[in-house]
Amino acid sequence: MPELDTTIHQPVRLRVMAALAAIDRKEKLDFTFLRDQLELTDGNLGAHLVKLEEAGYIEVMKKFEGRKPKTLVCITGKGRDAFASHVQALEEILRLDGQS
Amino acid sequence: MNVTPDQARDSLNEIREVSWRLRRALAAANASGHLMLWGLVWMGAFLACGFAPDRTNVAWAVGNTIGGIGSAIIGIWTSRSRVESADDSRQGWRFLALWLSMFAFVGVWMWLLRPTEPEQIAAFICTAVMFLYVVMGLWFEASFLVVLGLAITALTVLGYQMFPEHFYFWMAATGGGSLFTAGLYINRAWR
Repeated sequence: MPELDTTIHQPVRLRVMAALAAIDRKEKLDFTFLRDQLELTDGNLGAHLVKLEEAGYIEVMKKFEGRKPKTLVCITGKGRDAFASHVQALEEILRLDGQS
Repeated sequence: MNVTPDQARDSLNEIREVSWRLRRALAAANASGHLMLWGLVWMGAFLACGFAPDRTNVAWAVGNTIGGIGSAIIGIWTSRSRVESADDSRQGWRFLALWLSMFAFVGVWMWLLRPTEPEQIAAFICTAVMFLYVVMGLWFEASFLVVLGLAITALTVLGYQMFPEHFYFWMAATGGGSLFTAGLYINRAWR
């Protein structure tokens, strides 16, 4: 049976992972776009990205476009698997609840 | 970790909502600028055709050039500012090939069918472009493109049949207006 992931289950990180899992494998999201979509502050999003990066679930890349710094975020294969497993665990809870 | 069924349900709803909102915002970012631009191009070119029916070729040559260059700029700008893909350049070329193929086929059909009235040619090209909207909408699961393509096709047929003497003005208002309004709505409501 799939297990819940404590790193992903935190509400902000759950939303970050949901957003990153929604895009294609070869795509990376711009930090500011992600921040605006999730209605977070720079600091709040940054702190949760660090946690997810430490778990190996996401990759954060910094680069320059001209003189402007740009941060890109993408989900890793490990992160995609962990997120899928977490969603399955949540669905399993609902399924078992429906049976009782 | 202890999670109640209500918490699990809330989490799954949150995941669905974030995923749906993000996909919609990306669709808005990708499509809204192009729709507004081509809405303005259609309005301008059709109005020019209405006021100078003997200069339709010039009106569309200018309109398509502005639209083509504008679309390329919007495409580069929107893809870079929100999402970056390893397939960006390939996708750009694929889109270009798609539109060039359509124009090539339209050219062949025109040569085969030889429509005589400029209104016929305009209606034919508009419905062909809208057919491509429907195909792209089905392919990318963007239902708004399917609806828009079908609606403008219906408006084109209606205008051609019911108001042939005012067809260009009809198309400027309904075709161009629909494209621009759809782009504006998506830009405002989906971000």
